[in-house]
Amino acid sequence: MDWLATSQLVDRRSFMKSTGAAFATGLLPRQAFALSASDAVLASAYRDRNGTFGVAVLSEQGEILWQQALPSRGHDVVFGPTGETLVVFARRPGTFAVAIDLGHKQNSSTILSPSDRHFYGHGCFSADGKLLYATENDFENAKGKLGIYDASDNYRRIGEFETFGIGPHDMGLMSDGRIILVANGGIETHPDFLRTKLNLSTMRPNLSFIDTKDGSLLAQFELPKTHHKLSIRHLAKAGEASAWFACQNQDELSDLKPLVGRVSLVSGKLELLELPDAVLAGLRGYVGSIACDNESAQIAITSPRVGIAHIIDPSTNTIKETISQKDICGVAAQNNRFMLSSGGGFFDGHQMPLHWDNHLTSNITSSA
Amino acid sequence: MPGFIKRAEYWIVSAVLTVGLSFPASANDTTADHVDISSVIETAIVPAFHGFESSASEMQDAMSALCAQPSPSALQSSRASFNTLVGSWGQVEFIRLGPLAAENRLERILFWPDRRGRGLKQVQNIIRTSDATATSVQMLGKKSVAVQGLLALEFALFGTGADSLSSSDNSFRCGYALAISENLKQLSSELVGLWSDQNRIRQLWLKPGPDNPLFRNNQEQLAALIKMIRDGLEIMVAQRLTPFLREDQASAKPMSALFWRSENTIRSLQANMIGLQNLVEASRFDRTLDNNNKRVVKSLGFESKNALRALAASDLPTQKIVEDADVFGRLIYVRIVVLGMFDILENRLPAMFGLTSGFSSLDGD
Repeated sequence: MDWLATSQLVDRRSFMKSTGAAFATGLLPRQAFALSASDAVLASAYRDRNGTFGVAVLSEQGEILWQQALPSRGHDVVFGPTGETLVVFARRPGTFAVAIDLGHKQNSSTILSPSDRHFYGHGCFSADGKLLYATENDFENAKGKLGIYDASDNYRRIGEFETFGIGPHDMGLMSDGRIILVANGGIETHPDFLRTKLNLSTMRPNLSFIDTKDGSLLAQFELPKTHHKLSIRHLAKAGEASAWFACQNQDELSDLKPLVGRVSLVSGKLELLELPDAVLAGLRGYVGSIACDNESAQIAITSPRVGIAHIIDPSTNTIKETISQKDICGVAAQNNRFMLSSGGGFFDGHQMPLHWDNHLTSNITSSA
Repeated sequence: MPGFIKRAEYWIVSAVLTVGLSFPASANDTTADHVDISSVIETAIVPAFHGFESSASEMQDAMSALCAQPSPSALQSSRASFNTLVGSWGQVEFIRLGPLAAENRLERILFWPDRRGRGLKQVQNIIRTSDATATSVQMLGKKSVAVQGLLALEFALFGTGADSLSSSDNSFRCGYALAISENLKQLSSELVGLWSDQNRIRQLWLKPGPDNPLFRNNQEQLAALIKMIRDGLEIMVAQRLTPFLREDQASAKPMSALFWRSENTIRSLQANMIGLQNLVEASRFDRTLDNNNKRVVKSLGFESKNALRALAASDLPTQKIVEDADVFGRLIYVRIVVLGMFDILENRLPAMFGLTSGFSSLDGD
């Protein structure tokens, strides 16, 4: 139990200072593979049966193409624009990310957050792959930041933008290649209190469209006041300057609340998806991942607490398919279908000896 | 959703499902004989909330008397009532299943941790400006949660300038403190009411089944109880002991301890431990376990007694605690004991009852 430490953050940082370099250069991939731009692969963080954490790349058929150990639990994985580079972020409040060149052109790079920041487990590359953005917590000032890292210079941190909110979580580059959408979950945390939520009574989540040219806020969308305890956490890109978002209800004692919605910079609207009460109730206040298949315009949502995934046609608010699988959470749209994974080792119909983390990422269509 | 359950009631109970333990609906129901939720409600939860209400009522009476006739003895009486109130609150504050977590009641009673001292600044501002709207319980209830609960009352009774309450010179401060005490009494009565026989939360928690959308089986029913106790132990370490003790005497922060101002830090911890142990005893976890597992459950009682003994020997103002290596060491020991108890609730007890942990179902990721 790592919360024994006075500050988990300090301990992890110390660990990385002492071992990070060796880790980054010493753990070579188990299995080399050539990855061409046309290969469709998926990636997810995991824990194996021995308790070791890592990140794996899989084929659509569930074959593990490559895997690498991590110093602690990873969370989201993002691919660079060519698909040859991936970055896995530590689960919040982690302080490391690992960038890996799948073609072995260079060793893995271990990226540490600054001493007064920690990662939230999500990020994205710029359109040209030269920059990596990461959601970060400026915890002393209770402000969300977008850390900016230079991928061409061993991921040196070169600056940061505001996220214009508290507790940023998922983020994604919009299809124009310039605008980033950030889900500011609204929840203040501080490493001294680990994952304790410090501001539930006053939280105000929002969705912020940020211009990566200068970090300016292009538009910000908030939920209705009655829904201010819906922490907006995950995103799935849905066309031009538009995304689906998924929430966790922090006021679980309230009436049923919508947990999924869509925001568009083009239309200037934030709309909540009205799912049937029975479906909402079955989600138990938490959608852990969301993905959008842009061709069919269907979305998939997962609720690991209940062990359920729904594929939804938002145009008719109808459930097209429901998948029950214990601890199901990871979902990615790939080649016009949804791939799913679970903490119990389920991966698209295959049972594997790994506990998959909450997110599954495709190198072809990644979330948001 | 079945028609017999109102939406609000549904979500009241759904708080327990923020749990890192998940189960398929079709799980083999092996825990039915292991859990005694009825006993937990009747012998631990309801009496604890009644105790809190009684203390809050006493607090309100003491404040009324102090404001009506200020005197050193009346102030002393109010401070004594506050100490009692802290003790009774400490026994219920981890019963966050249902009503306490709803409608910001928890934060209205105790806004903590307040890392940046926002609450204190607001309380000081109310007193400095003699904000008349803070002396009406109706108006106070609409203000920031940080100015209407125990920490606001603590500052009013024990903070800078509090001694003036013993004379008639500071009627505003007294009126504000009285309004806080009235607010706390109201909240405590609400909590008692919401745990009464008529409230649906009891019915749902007591009767898991396929038509119960919250507790599909006894495993979910039991998981809610285990989580409640486990979370309480975690809060004791992560929010109470560690921010105060830090890593050693040199880095300790005596004023980061909850209730340091009224010298109730240890009392609060003692009450926490007693409240959690009451839940463990009432649950009768060991009813159908084999002897080895029975010993593990019994060790919870043994360890809680050890912690209580160490706390009783450490009941000093927090500044003195950090100056005394022996006393400081005792609290470090308490932290280790609580961590050991946490490990039992986190790992061993779920394993005994066949509860598996969902790797991806943890909160908020």
